[in-house]
Amino acid sequence: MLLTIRRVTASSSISFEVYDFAFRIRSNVPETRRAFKRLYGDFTKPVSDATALDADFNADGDGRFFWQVGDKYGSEAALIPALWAFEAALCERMLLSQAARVAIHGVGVYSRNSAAVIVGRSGAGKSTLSLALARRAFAVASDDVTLVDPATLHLLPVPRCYHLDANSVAMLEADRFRFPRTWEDFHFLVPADLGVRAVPERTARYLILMSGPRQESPRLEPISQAEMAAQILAETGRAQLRDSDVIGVLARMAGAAGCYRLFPGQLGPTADMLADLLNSEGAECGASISA
Amino acid sequence: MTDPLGGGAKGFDAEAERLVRQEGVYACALPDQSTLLFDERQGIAIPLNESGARVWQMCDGTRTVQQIVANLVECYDGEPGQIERDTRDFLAVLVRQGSLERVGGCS
Repeated sequence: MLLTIRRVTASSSISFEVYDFAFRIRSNVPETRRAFKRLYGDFTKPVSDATALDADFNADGDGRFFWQVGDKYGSEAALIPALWAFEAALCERMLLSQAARVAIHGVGVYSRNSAAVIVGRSGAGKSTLSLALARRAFAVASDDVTLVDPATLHLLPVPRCYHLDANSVAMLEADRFRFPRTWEDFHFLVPADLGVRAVPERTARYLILMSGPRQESPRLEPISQAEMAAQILAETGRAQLRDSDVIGVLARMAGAAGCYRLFPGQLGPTADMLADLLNSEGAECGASISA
Repeated sequence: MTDPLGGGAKGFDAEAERLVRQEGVYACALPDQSTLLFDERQGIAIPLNESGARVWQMCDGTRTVQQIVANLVECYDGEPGQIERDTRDFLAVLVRQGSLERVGGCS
């Protein structure tokens, strides 16, 4: 059952700073403030009024939800789509502020000793697979976007809420993923709900490109580092870096990683196969892996 | 040798024509011997396998197409005629999308 939202007339605020992007969320919906505190909790710090961008999310007396982030705004009749749109607008502004970092369209997945980024087009199944990996004790610190520091190639996960459709939910339930109460009540699932807090700074040991429709059995095939860099580039935000700088970062990143194309099968076997690879001690580049 | 990019037109004057890399096209060599070409003018990236990267390196304006093919025939197993066809196809693709420029020859 979805949570009943209490509406209040007074709006109160909470401030965050995510990778040098300072903003202040003002809302008259207490559940909204709590949701974003869970999402950005590791980034909470005092922010001066002068530098913070105002982001507003409010319910009116008729039960409609209005949001505004800088000059972008919208409204929805239902809370969840409004929250998701508000969060996406905040993320977009945050990424625009990342002048010196490369934003990759991919999910950051961490094991005890290493990190991987799963990339692929929207709808490829990155989020669903990453949550299946979360059930297998991996820390999934970002959904959808991961920043890369050009100097160190360290991954900087961007906290986001998971956008899951009914099909993804059904696949995860079949894989025995236990949705936390925040999803059951509120449909606003964030990495902190899965026990993920700040993750150590790491470079990507593996880059995984999700490709094609689901097959009968999953398969991992090595691809060249150049092909991986080109594929990531096609889905990469370039911010204010010159293209040649971005290419240099992606080439160095791919050059330091084992690169694979993943043809997904059923969710469980796919996640098992990928978990085996990510947990392996040595990068076994060059060999195809089938479930 | 596998066809680095596949498909494409032929029509080089192999004995006379040479190819030269266009300015603004960067090549990043990667540890697994693949190479990423990036054409900054067009904003496109082209991944090359090891043999494609070798061809790219030889396109410095000093070698004819025939000399490039001869080098590959020496370095790779494969039927020489197939290597020549693959190489011509590959070069035609890079010329067509603007990474290489033809110099010399009649065309």
